[in-house]
Amino acid sequence: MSEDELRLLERLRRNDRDALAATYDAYSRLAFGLAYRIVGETGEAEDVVQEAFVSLWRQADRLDSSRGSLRSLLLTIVHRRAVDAVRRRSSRPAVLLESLEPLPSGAPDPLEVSSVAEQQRLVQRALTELPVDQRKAVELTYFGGLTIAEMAEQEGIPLGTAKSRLRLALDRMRTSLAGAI
Amino acid sequence: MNDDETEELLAAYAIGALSTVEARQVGAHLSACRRHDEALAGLRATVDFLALAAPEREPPAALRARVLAAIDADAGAQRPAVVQMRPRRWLSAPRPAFAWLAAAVLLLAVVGLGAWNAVLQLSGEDEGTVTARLTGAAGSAELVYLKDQGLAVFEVELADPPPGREYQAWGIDESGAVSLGLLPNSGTVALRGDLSKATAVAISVEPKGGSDEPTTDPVLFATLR
Repeated sequence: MSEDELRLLERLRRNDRDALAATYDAYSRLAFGLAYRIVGETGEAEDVVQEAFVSLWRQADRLDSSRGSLRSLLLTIVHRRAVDAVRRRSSRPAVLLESLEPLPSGAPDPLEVSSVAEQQRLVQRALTELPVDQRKAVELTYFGGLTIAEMAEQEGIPLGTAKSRLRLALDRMRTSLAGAI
Repeated sequence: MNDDETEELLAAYAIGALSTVEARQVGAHLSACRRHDEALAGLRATVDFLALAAPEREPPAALRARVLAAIDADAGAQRPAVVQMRPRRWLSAPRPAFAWLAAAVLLLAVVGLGAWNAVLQLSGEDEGTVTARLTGAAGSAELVYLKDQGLAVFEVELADPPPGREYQAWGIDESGAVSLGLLPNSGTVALRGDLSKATAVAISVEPKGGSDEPTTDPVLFATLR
């Protein structure tokens, strides 16, 4: 965790409202982007982001730097809330594979990755490098909010295949992200 | 859930792609088994990174003010989720003092043993069981609710209650708290009750013989979903 984040976390823990505003300024684009990617609609994405920040605020006095970065905690909350919102709908929109731009060559060494932009590039590359079945498994569950049982049904594959596809995908991504994680 | 089943579901657990019941079963196994820690940490770190694969997007300008207004509105209310979720009559109740703590003796009631066997037999049936772990300062409790049989099986490890008092379990739904029955401080007990509409379960300290409705703050609490 960066020193800025640690300081922000410390202030949040003391219920410093300005620290929450600073957290919003730092991460609202990431949070809103993630919420929008999952719920696919501006109004609902706003609600998700608002709920997520309130939730972060409520647990601020229990925040602990050893549990991971402030950014990943916030985005974890956003993800959970967004998936809950999607799962509450009676019918879900079909999940489309994002068309990810091919990456320029000469991607940075993961060990030296620090900026968010570089991390984004790395994870997008790790996704695009997955075999298409595995990538779809990640997209349908993480961004589509499907359970593995639903994913198996939608893809017409046995549940066991769905489980192992997802595991293979995440293990593979982890390998290509090694160093950045 | 055994080691192999847990391992097989670990990626789906990390990415949040299990049903609530399955996630709870995997969570229960993971809380008692350290063998999956390393794999789970790796999977979780990868999932954390996945959030960055979504393209950044500028939120509408008004959202910042809305978020801060929501924080301000929330700051006036009490903060822990437990306070928010428990029934109204618990809001003003005084918090019991727990200056005492004693070693609890584990005893399995005969009825508890019978019910526990039932739990083990049913552990493969996802839709038929709801499991929850109740946590709080007084100790811990595991709940397995067998829907078909209307049985709430509690395994509890609690501090001795104050003289003249005992533990009582409650199911909480929209109408408030409904008693499930009295609990020992330690051991397994099966209580008959209907939790099909409950959103949470709680345990409170009540006068001996129990109360019709809770008279003290819950000492243990868990939400059900």
